[in-house]
Amino acid sequence: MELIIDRLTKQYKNKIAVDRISLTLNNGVYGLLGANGSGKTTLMRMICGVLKPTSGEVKFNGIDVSEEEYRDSLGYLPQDFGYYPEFTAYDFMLYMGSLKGLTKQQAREKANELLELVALSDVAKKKIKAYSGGMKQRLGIAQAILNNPKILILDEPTAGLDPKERVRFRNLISRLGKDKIVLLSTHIVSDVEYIASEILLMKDGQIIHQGSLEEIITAIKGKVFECSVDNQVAANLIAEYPIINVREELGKTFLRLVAETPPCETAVVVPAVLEDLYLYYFNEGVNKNE
Amino acid sequence: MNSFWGLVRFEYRKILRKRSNIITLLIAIFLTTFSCIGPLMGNYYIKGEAFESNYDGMKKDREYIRSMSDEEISSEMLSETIEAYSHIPPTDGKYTDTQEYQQYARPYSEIYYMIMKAYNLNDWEEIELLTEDEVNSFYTMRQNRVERNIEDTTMSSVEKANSLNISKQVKIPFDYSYTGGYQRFFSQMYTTAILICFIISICIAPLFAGEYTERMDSLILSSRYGKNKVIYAKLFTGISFSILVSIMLTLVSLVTVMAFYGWEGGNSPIQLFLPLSIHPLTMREVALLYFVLILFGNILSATLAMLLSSKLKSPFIVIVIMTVVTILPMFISRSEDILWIYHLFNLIPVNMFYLTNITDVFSINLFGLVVQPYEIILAFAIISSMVLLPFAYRNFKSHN
Amino acid sequence: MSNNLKRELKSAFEAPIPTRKSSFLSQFNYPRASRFDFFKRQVGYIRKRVWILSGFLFIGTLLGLYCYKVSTSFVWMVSSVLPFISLVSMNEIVRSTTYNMDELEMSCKHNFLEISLIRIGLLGIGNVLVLIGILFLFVGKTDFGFFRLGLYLTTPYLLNCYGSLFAINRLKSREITYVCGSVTAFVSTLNALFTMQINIIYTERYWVFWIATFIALAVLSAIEAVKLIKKTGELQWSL
Repeated sequence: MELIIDRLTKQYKNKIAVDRISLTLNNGVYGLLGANGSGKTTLMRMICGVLKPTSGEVKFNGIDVSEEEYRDSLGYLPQDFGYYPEFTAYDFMLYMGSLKGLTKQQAREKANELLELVALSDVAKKKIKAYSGGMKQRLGIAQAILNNPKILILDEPTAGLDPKERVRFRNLISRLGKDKIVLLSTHIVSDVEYIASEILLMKDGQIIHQGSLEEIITAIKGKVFECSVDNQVAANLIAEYPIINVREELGKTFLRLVAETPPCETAVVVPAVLEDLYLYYFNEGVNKNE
Repeated sequence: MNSFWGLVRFEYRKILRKRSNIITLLIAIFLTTFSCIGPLMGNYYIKGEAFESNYDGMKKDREYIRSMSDEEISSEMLSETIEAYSHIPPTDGKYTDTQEYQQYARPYSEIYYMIMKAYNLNDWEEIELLTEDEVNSFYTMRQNRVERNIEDTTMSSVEKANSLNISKQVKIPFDYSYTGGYQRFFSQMYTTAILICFIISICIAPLFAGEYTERMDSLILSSRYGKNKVIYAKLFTGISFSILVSIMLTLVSLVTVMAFYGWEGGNSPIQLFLPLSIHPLTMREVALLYFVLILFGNILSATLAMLLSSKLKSPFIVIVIMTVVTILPMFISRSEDILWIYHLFNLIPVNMFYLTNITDVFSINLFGLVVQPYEIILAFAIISSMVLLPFAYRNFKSHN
Repeated sequence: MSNNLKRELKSAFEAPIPTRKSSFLSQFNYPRASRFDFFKRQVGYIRKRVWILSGFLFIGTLLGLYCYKVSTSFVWMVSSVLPFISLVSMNEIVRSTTYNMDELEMSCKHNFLEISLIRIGLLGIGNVLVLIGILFLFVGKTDFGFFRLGLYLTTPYLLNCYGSLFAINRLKSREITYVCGSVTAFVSTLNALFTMQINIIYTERYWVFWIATFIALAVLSAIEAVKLIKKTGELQWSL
């Protein structure tokens, strides 16, 4: 099973949203990390056939994205989706089932099974209008796996889920990743840290880093420091280095930052985590402008 | 107080910023103007050939009438009319197509119309059968006709007596003058009133309901002024907007019509347009009264739109309901057999816009007080608006 | 092995729970719903209000013409109501966009394009049937011939279709229902005014105007409809 993305580009009049991205995805969970506006959603939409690329191709086992057979193997959870107001969750699942080519019987069975899986069974016959954001999100996840897809594209799937639900979701995705290609985008680094076998960092329409967690962390290994300094020194450091964390503490300022060499005397090297890498890459522009 | 006017300004900006509203306003202005001069476009055909342009025809008639202006409608003028029409030979087609009509009778066509109405004639040939006595007693004959009309209605005796009284106050003899501008204005204003109503529905529908669909309602209702000043500002905007639009489109109609047809004739009696009207009013007075009627009818429309907007979930439903409420009564014919139904029916905003509410023969006995239809309509419009506005206020305030 | 022994073994030991059950099962192609099944289901998902309104109009016309004595203004009333049928049909066609379901539907096997085609086809046929049905009801009941009456009834309807499609193709999803409602208000009001005030336009002299308008609106509507269908292939407002 192979999802091949070949020099995929999406250009709007004055902006290149996705810039010649080439990827080969196999079974497993891929985490797509990137700031707002980095092109994550545009990339995912092109993989789902929702947007037509300016150039490049997407093929799954040789089937092009524009064909019905491709979509038959696809499950998608958009970042933001609506619902027909009179539908209950159950109606919604049946509707999506019919769109995905399931027979009515299959749709019924799958709907019951999946609604149970995402803990919506007891509100299945209530109108979606009355659902909280987290419940809607779980419904979205349920419909994405309705047709047992081989490719699962999830855009910000944990938005609106409370910590308990997020853990359940992570477990579900891990299980699915065993025999599917799962690509999920998120801002919540911990989602990706534990379940993604490969992490893709996206910035300004390009994949700037790709690899397992250990591989990409090496970029800032030994470069993450923590120190506690007085406010004047802190102000200078903030202006000079990419800052990951700032905390005011009893007259002093606690800083966690990334630097090639220790930024001050009291600085201590700490183990780098994915969040550090993320903030290092995606706060760069912000800090410099400050 | 400043904050109130600031809020009103915001509401107006919300209305005027929407492209769809601007387009609606422009279309309505265009349609009004087009409709005013519509009858002047094209040609008048006699036997398939263009005889004259409608515009030239209007100017010709205008000159004819102007040459006879500032005279009284006297027996001499009537005799002249009859004599002129006697030149027309019997013909199979329309008598107005004959050369004799164009040459002799056309200048007197308005007088002819008055004769037909006063003497209750059906055919132009009957005009020659009138005796000299009958011609001399034109005003008496007319008054008899009017009294007959009053008598034939199903009004009560008190109402009939009142209408009779009013009819006796009509000043005779009539001073003849050109009143084409006013006549065209009266014909046009029904269309203008409907267009005003249409604009109001479209622009006011989102006043409250738009906040619901844009999900701004909870934000607004939880703000400092959200439960009082904001709502007052919206209601004020709705009413004032309807007034402004009414004035604007009326002025457009008035100026367009008068510019083409002529401004004079304001002091002439309404009977030059509607010979059997019982009211001792001049053209100008009727025009003013008509404007007031249309204005308040549209204020009531605006109030209805605001009430619906505050109660319903989206502006779409409001527009659909307002359109149905506006159009449906236009197709239902009003029968005068059962008068109270007839008068009640005229309280629907769209039916308030008929000129006959001012000029017709009816008086209404309301619990001992005898009034005119337009007085009742105005009172109803004002009172209903005042009664319904607080409901709109409450609906929005307590919206969940 | 004897059957007895087998039975004994079964009851003595617990069979291990099957692992990899789902991956085993997913290897098989289970029976899929046919395209026709999908079509049938989509018919059911079109809201009943379209059919109800069409039914009301048809029955109302039937009753009005054959059971009660109605005046010729009935023709004009019907011609002012037909734009509303166009309105509810249009609302149905753009339902996915209005309720933000279009992105999800685009990614499915039977995607947004198919759904839209089915909706447009069904509703188009439904509308045409209502129009023709009403026309047949009117035959012989008015002064106008079949053809002329057809023009008078369908031209306001087409104007509404064109206006709605024009707006749909150019506006964001949030405003679409409101603007379509405004278009219908405009067409309906204008039509009512024309029929009440400018009767002369319904005389024979102006039939060229009617034919020209009818053809122009039909062509323009078709162009906009094709544009709409093309747009269902891709999400429109991405950034």
